[in-house]
Amino acid sequence: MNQVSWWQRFTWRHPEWWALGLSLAAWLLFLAPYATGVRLSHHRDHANGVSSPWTGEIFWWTAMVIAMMLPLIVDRIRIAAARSIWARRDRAVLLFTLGYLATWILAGLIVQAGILGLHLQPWFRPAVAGAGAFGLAALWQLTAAKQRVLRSCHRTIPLAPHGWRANLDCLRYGWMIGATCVLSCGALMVACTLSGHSVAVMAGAGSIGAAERYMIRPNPRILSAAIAALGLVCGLALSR
Amino acid sequence: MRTRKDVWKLSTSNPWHPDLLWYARAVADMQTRAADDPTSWTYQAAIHGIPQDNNPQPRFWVQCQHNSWFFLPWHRMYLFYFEQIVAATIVKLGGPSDWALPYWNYSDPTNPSATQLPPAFFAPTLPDPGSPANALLDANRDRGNSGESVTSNPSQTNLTPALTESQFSVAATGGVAGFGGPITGFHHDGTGAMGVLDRSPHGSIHMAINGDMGAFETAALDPIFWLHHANIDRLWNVWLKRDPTHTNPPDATWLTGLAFEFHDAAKSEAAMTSSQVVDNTASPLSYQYEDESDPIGGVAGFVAPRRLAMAADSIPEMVGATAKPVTLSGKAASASFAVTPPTGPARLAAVGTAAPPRTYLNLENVTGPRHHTSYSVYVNLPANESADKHPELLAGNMPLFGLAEASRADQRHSGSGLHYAYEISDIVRRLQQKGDWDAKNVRVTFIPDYDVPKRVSLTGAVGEVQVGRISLYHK
Repeated sequence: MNQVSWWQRFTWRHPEWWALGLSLAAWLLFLAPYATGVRLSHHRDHANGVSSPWTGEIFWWTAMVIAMMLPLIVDRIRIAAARSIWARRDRAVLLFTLGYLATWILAGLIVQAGILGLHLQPWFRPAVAGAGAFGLAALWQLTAAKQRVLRSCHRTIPLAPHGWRANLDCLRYGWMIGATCVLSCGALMVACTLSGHSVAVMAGAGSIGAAERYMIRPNPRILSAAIAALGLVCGLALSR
Repeated sequence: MRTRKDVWKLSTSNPWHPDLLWYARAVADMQTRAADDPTSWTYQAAIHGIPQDNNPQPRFWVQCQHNSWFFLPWHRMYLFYFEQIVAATIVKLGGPSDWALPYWNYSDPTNPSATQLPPAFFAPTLPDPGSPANALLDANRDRGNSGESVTSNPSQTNLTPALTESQFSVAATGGVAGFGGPITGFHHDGTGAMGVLDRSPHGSIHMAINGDMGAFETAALDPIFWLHHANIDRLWNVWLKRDPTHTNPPDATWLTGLAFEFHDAAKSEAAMTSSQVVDNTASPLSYQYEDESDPIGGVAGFVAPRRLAMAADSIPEMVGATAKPVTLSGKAASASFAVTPPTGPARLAAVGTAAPPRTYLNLENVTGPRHHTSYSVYVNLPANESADKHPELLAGNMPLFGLAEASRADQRHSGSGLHYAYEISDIVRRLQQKGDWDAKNVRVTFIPDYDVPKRVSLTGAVGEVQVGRISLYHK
């Protein structure tokens, strides 16, 4: 294997590299306003209770999912690649990721429809709703059902080796992992949305999600407290 | 320092050797204690598993580690505290203070009775006044309680695949298996291929006895469980000693990343990390085994150079698999699939070397309810020929220990099932030399090891097992 370049060796060992690249690009999209001084009006509008266009909401929801969630499924992407014929590895990663994002986008449509409906209510306060979503996420963290869902996020399924069946299996696998991720992290993502996609809140929530996925034995109580603390900080910042 | 002795040597000298008699008395005493007493038999067994997901002691119960690189250190800790509790009970009952847990060496080629349970484990009564019931007898066993061999399949006690495995742990992506298990967190999902020792003889012996021994959630209720695991613990030392290249993981994650919680003999909470148990002769463990000699001397020197050269840097490459699951229902079954030449790292790895790539057969996402038998897995077994005539085509044993738990989505498992990987390089080479290897038609045959027992205890109805995918990897 000496004739293999370091880049090729890197991509062999890390077939998830471009999914992580996509995540990085999404983070840069959220960070760009801070560097360029061009304010994304969408963010503060959202937090202030002003609704953005529907397509814009879905775009930012998807960007948020790509930024925060793709790094959390690195091990599943590796599984999809490792259990595919070598020539199909990149396709397997692509189809898995598409299936995964499809569940989140579907969830996003439902969430955004709900938020849109709430915006029409005179009593609606995004800061209060955001705090409620964080509280819900913190409570959810303590339940046995959440732990079962979290285990399911590590699930594997048999993948056919060739043809349309292999394509379908990769899509289906991504969809299944996406569905469990929506159940596991959905409340946290809604809270991030209601915070106006604040980069600081997203980074905090993403760190909690990463700790939950990658810590050798995550403690649900500590994670729950971290979510509650994040919600408190976010609520205080938005109420100023 | 306590010395753990060979139970058959004790038993041969005296079927009710004092070490066994005191063990039986201590077990009986522990069985009278309340379930919430950490020194009770029920509590100690529940540390390994309980039959339902409603766990009243989530910090201490259902903690067993399988399909994981924590398999060996966790069970070493588990046995250490159990041995401490039994020893304290024996002292309380007026017995000796130096009792140590014996080990059951079912692979001993010098002992024709090695695969039988020692008589103390199936005698109905103790030799004590009044002939009290023998607590070492577990009536739920499917095999062994009549003094018969628990297995007549030598592959189930064959130590060569485990002891010749060069790496302790491998990535949990599948393709290959390590000696001790795949790199995982606390949970054991069956994501990666289970360790070779975990598979066999560990899992094979669990299923050979079956009954309580056949499931994570009941296994430790059988008193033979502890002697079986003392032997598995001993084999960890044998593996380390037989080849200087055999080493434990140096990773901090494995050594100190996770502290497992137990109770000691004083019922005080205790915690240990792997780093505290890598040397069993040092404090706090301070025990040794009567015999840690290498039972297959010379094999490692033959295979190690090639393995060492390849193991560190190569990536397993999947070259073929079945497209549909295979269903097993206690009868022989086969499935075929085609393999393609490697086009990635396995192809490049072979360039410039005369050695062919190493080949691994994988059984992925094996799911189902509790099952009455394990299976022997053969590659290209000729149709209509007895498997007994072709031991050279045997890839290995598929024990199915913990199948039901691994197939269930709960707080400890993702429901992915079990995953096995067998190195079949020698089988493929022999088939190629004989002209019996057809890449378009690789056939894998499952032969059940046992019939349905006449008295099915805990296994229940003979359920169906699904092998999600059979695949072949080159490395």
